[in-house]
Amino acid sequence: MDLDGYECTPRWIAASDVARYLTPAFGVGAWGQFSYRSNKPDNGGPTLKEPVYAGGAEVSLLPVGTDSPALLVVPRLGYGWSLMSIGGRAEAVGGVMYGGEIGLLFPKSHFSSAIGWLSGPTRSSGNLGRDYNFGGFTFLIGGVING
Amino acid sequence: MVDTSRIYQAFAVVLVAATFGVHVSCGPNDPDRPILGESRALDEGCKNGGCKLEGAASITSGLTADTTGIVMGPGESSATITFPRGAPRFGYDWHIEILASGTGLFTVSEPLCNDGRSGNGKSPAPTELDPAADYQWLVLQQDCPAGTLGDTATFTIRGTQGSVLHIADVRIVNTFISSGGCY
Repeated sequence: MDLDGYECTPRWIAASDVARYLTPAFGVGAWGQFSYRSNKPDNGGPTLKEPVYAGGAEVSLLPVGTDSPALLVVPRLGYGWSLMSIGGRAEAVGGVMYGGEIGLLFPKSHFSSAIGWLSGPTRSSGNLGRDYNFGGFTFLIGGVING
Repeated sequence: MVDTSRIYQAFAVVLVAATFGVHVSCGPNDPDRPILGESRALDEGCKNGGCKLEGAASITSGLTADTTGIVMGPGESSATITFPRGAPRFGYDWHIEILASGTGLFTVSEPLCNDGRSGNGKSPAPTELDPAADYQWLVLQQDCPAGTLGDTATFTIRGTQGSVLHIADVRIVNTFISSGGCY
């Protein structure tokens, strides 16, 4: 894709997760996210668009306690679908996603920030394409709702 | 202190995020830098009937499901591809490149620059193409002169028995030839 003028570009992500803590330091939950990127070649041509839908299960760990800010470690496993298109109709290709995030929770102020990484290896939707990965590194900021 | 009893309960986290990204900026507009034709010119060419295939050549999906690709081989094959040249660039010679991978040997006969002549005024002899396993842009023959008539470019590529070529795209590359003069 890069050779054909379509650069590697950032993706925007909207994500959410829900976890239930079985012990003070250990919880299980579910996650879901939508990401999107688009890129138009500098030399002209149709725009590449790639929405990705993903979701799965997670383990939510608070290894150093719950005092604010609380360190949060979240390994994740799931499945994702990429719908990459270049001027036409996309065909979904899927792949197992795995990775996780590490971040800080500020429960009183309902704020969180984290960095993460998810890998999503898959095949190309086109017969002449190469295998690729629709995952990547993430920087997350968000809100916390304590149940 | 945090009210830990609340954290022990279920809590939902709504996150809005952006990935890290690197933007590669380009340098100043340099006239010596080749000007590349539009991406996905192969799609445009084949969509408008510009891909004539013979033998073991066939049209398939390209880098994505909605793009066009051409597979040649492993039997004897031939493909004549006509695609839009884009806006004329006065002061720039131009040539054709194909984004391809494969094995074996192929011969290319070109366009005669749309005016019955090659870039040096003679009929060009077919040249050989030696593709690699990974995709790369392969240059087809010589430059055609600036001011060449016509809004399309055409080339024919032939493969022998046992040779395989995957063509993912084609493009025009315009090369600056002079800083002076008018066309």
